[in-house]
Amino acid sequence: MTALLQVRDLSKTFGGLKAVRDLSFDVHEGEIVGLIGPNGAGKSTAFNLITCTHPATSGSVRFDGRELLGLTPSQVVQHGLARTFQSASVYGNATVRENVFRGAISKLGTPLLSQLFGTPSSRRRLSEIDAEIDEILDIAGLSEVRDLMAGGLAYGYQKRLGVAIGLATRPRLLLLDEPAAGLNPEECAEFGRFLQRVRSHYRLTLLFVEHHMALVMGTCERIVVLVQGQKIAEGAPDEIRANPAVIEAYLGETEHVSA
Amino acid sequence: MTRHSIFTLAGPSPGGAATHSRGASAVAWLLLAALAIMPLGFSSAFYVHLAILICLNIFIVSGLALVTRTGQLSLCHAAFIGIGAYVSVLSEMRLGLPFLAAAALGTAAAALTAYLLGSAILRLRGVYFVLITFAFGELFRLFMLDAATVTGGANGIAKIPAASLLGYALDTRKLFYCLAAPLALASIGFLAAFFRTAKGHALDAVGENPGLAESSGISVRKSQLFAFTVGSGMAGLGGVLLSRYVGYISPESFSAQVSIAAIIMLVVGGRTSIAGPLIGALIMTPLPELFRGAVQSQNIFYGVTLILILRFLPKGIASLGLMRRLTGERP
Repeated sequence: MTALLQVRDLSKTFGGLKAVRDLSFDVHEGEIVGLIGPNGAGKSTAFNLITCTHPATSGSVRFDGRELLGLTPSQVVQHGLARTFQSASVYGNATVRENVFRGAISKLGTPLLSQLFGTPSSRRRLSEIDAEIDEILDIAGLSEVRDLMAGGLAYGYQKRLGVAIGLATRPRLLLLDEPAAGLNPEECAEFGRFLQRVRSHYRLTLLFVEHHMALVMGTCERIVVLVQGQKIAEGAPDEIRANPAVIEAYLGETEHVSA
Repeated sequence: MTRHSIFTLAGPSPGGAATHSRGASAVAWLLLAALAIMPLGFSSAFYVHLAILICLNIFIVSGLALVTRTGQLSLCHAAFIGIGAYVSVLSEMRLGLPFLAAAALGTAAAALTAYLLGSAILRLRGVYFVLITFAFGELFRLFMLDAATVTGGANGIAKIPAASLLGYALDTRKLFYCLAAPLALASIGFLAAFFRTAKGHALDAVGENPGLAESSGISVRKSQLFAFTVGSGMAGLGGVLLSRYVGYISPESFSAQVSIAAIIMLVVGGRTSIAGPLIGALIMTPLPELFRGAVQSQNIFYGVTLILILRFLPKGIASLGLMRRLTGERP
């Protein structure tokens, strides 16, 4: 079985700095994969390369057999690969429901004129989208706040809304950039349960960058460790926890760990 | 769900529009209709003249509103008004095209130019885009000055024939108003309907958070190009009408000052509101006349009014409570 996402020899150079060096890994359909590493390891850069937000210097990213590099981010989304942002990224001046609707716009596929005149086919499509939005709001636990302005929501809600917008694009693979950053332990645990719900309901494949070790170890089936732009380890959470190279990267010299 | 009404920005398929807002929207349209019919009863030619200018400004500023909603500020709106005016006037006077064909050609020329210019410069953001559009506006003006054999240069083109529809020449102020007012209403209606469609929502998404819009599958480039083309095309049609009404055009009629005046109308009226162009044009078009008694200090009053509005109503007059109740928009 070929992997859903195949990253091969992906590199990015900023001036003289190699932010990502020959990164290769696979993500298979249905998996939850974590991408971890110390600050400045190039995790977010790798994310931006995979989603074509920044152009890669060299390498290849294949999604479902198709090369993504060279596409625009919006084309990548239409191929079924959506992402969320590190900081809560929502449309603050729109309601929660409108936020999710905006995520679904690219899947609408009705021409502008039939939208303007509200033809039966465009209305039918809108009511289908409406049902999908209701379902997403329900899963994200945002049903009660659907008519509130997104800008006024608590941070935890905004982060879930960010994922909800991504879900509305109907992705096969969802990339989450530090979904737990800035959440308190309670919100974080809730977020973990939310991710599980999302995955089982939509049969999604998830790839996420995270600092929060409990969330990573508890949710991920496989982990890729980046240090200074290079992959130093890959494996199940238990293997990663016991890997000397990983321990060294995170805590410095191994002696310090035993000390 | 009390905010759904004619101008509403909210959901594309309202769960159940409240009767309250339907009432408010009916009141808004009735007011608008009354406002539109009123000038026909004016005996003073000057007031009819003002009403016509207001209508043309509504149309032109609505085009600008479409562009700014996607987060780009165009300083060459006047150039597109000019392209519409020059192309239609020249094709009618030199090539002998009938008015309607000339008008269509002028509008299409403005839209096509905007499409080509936009394809090249819409990757620029913020102040860079503003600067390039300013440069393009100046380029257009200087080019019209320079191509004197065709455009008449600084002398402009005079004795432009009046607009004619179905064989009737609209050669009096009131007759021309009968063309300008429905077009102004149509532009408001178009924006109101458009910003309720998914495409309209996509444009708002791009204007508010381009990074997020792009990552949700909405192409920022295509959305902005669409808005720039359609908005500038509207400016072109506005220019066609302006040239036929005034009967004279020169490169100075389409200077950067005209672009800035359009931006001021939009900002004073309300950038984010469908009613913004209407309110802005209603207030800013006659404003210089109010201060006419004090010719020396006219510009000072104008400036002070602007500063006060920007200081206390940054989202324009459309954000006032009373206006919002009429338009059904939220703050």
